[in-house]
Amino acid sequence: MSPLPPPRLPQVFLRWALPPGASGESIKGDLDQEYMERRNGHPQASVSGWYAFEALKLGFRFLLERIRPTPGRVGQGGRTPKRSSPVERFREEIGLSFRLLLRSPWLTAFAVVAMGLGIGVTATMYSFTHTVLQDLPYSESEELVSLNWDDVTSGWENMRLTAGEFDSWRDTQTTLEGLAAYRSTMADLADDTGEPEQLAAAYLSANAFTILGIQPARGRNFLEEEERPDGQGVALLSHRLWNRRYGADPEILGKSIRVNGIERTVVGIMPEGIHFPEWEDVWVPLLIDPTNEAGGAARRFVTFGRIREGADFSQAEAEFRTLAGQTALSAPEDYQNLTFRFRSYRSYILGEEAAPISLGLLAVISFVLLIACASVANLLLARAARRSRELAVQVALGAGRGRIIGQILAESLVISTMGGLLGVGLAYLGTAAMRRGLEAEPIPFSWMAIEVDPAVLAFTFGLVFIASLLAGVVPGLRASRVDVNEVLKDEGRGSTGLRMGRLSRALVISEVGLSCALLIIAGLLAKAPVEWSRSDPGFDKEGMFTGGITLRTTMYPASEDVLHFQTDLLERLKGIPGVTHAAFSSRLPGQRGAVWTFHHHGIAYEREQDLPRARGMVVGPGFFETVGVSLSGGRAFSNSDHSESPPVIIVNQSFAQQYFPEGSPLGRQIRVGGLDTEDSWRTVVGVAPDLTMAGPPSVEGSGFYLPLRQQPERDIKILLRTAGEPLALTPAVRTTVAELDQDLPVHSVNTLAREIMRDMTAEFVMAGLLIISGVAALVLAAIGLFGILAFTVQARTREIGIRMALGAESGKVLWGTLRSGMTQVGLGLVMGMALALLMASVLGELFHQTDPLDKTVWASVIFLLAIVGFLASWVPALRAVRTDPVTALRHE
Amino acid sequence: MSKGFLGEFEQMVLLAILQMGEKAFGLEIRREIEESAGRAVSRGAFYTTLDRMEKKGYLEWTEKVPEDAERKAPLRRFSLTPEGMRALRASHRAVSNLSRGLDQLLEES
Repeated sequence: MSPLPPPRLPQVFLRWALPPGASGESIKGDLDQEYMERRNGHPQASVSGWYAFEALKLGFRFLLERIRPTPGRVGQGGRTPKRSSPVERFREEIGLSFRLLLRSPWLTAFAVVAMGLGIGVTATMYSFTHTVLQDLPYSESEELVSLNWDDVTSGWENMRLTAGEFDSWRDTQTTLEGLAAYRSTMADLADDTGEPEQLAAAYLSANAFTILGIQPARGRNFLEEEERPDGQGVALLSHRLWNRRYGADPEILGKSIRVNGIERTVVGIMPEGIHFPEWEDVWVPLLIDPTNEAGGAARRFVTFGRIREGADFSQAEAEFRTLAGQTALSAPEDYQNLTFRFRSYRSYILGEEAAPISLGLLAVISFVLLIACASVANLLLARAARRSRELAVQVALGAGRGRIIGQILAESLVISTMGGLLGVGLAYLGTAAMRRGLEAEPIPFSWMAIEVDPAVLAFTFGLVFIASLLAGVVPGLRASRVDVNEVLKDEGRGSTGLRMGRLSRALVISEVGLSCALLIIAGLLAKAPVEWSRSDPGFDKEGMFTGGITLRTTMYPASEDVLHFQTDLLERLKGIPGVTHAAFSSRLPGQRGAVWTFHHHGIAYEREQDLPRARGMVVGPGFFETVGVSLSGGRAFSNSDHSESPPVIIVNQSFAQQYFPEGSPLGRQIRVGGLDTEDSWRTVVGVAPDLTMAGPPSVEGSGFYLPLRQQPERDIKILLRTAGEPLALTPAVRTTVAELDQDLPVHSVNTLAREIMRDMTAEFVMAGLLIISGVAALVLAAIGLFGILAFTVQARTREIGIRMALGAESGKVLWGTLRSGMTQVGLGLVMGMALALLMASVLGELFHQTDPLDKTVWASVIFLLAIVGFLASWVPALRAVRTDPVTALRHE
Repeated sequence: MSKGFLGEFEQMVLLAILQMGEKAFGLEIRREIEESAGRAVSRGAFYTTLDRMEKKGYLEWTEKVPEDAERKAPLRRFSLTPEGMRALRASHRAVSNLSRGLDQLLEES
């Protein structure tokens, strides 16, 4: 067994801290030797810990020694009277402040922690919002624009372009460097190297990467002729996929892979980190064929371009509005409800709400930063106030104003440096934790890596440093100007001497207020997701395996093939040991269902928008049994509900109440689809209980279920009920599917419970961020309050001692301190509630169904703050009472 | 030039070096003091004191290659300079002068 050397980081620190040369080396050597001796008989972790701790102590001792202005306390000849250089004097000041700060270690620790916490939390949060607000990772990305249609009547926004629009505009336009289009999809990738898998893929026009300014790292880009139906056999791979699946083998170029069953030759590998538009790993050429009836009119093309040099946004917008107007004129009926939208690609891809939400978060974060500043400032104020007597003595002895301010600056600098280091550490830990927390649900865009931004770090640090500086300089200035006689007469009651009391009380009040507002908002935001996660979805979400399979038209051209495969697969899945029930559905229960329009029998609808809407899901036989609910009326679907049998439908209870309030829905007729639907009239054969269909955060909603065998669905979810661990079924499921189709991947494997939680990830992350900020704010405010009271008590020790000696009741002394603290907390709470009310009215929409005045949230926040405030005042108050009059009188 | 008296800890360090003679290596000196004084000696305080007394000219050291193969760093063997000897004597004299006739009292504790 080879013995482990001492931990590396402490060693590096020691080398840096110890004197250079043989003496330093030998001192470190001594510690190393002790470490090696210790290793026998102690567990490794404890020895490493011991080494780190000892190295830290030893190193710090030498660092302190280095900044000591005079050599040793023994036999020293006093400070040298000769004038020292500014640098030396600065070093002296720093050394002096170190020692002064160590004399009140608690205050120093509080200030450092407050500062570190403030910097750490805000830098973490800023880093998070920065990832959302940053530029897209394409060269001159602000020049990229996006072309869309909005439907004014139906509310559909950001509709894509048709192949026809795209094809005609790209030839006529002059203001863009080129018009490119893409369509994202999921693709099944298969080859001879391993298991098939489903990946995010995109169909791209040949010029897309060129317009983005990205060249393949290897191989070539798509060619224009590959956009035509006969040139489709090529593909580009992402660097990540190339590494993971093909071991970065350059020989893959020119080899053949199967994408959705179509043979394609790999012609290029894109550079690392490129996953345009979101997380795509495979790209294939977009088929641009406006003459194709079905594909030509469908709005499938996400279209973007880059503004040509010499043109600007408004020129381009004007040109495309004209083009859009001409196109609309050519077919007025198709375009009567559509308005053309021309905007930056960034705002298209991130969504319009991304910016305000991030800015809201920024505002909240700034609160924390403000609180941190106030906290640090307050502690330093308390400190400066306490030192007013000492400063006055210095002034009396002839110290100049510059000297005193220099001292205070040095102190601020020392505290800021320590707090800053702590803050940087916390920021890195925080972002790492955040990355971990988001692992389950990848951030929507590949370029959004959550990393600490040095600029952000510098900014937060600068702000807190300035605050600490101000907090030092203001009392410093007052002290240097102060009437020396007055202060010297004022026995130790520093805070009264410099009249700093009012300012620091105001700071505590605003800290309490800000954290109160922050916590209320965080609570309101968190309530809906938390409640939703606890709510009863109407079924048992535990013990359920879920996965998905997609049957491509290339492999399964006819609906019969799809049905046949699905029937076959279901039987086999039921045979897997441990599976008690199995079923297919188009969506997972508990997740958002698609919105369908439908027709009531006997009502004539004139316009599309008159049709009623409800959530719909296609489910196979055994679905309700597998989910574990029984129908409240009628019957479930069975194998005899197929394409030849009478069309049927099952509605849920909300649907029954909303659309058939007068009686039983059983036997009534509905058909689904738009005005031109070809759906036949379906008879309601069952009423199901309400299972979450609208998706989070709402639990209820009208919905219906269609039988899979009458409404074939290629993209289905597998649901397997098991008594054991659901994911233990994964290998068996994959083998079962592979028995039927070797190229068919099972994707999105997860437990149902976790899949359902995923829908709320964004809400949870946001609420979590706010709660962390709120708690940090609370801690900061508590530190501020505690610090200020503790130091008031300490400063008044003598006075309290005298009063106690003269027979003052301890209860009165206790109450006095407590009251002063609680008054500040109370005022802070009032201010915080007012602020929260104001913010709640602005942010109201983010709270989902939670009432901005929700009693539980408000009451618990106020209660929490009151308790914390009470404790922060109680401890110093107790200390005041415990003061021994004799010691107190001696206290200086 | 008088540099005043040595501190208690400084005296202990110098005495330990004298006691140990040829074996006065850093690690061993600290252990000797810990054993004789019966209390832990912080590494930081110990090594900075050595450094400080070296700067004052009370002690000096020579580098020695360690015999232990596992240890790569050099050893320092400390010894007192004449100046250090004088300072120790002066301090010691002062202490013993002051403790004249108090032996019984001092032994008791």
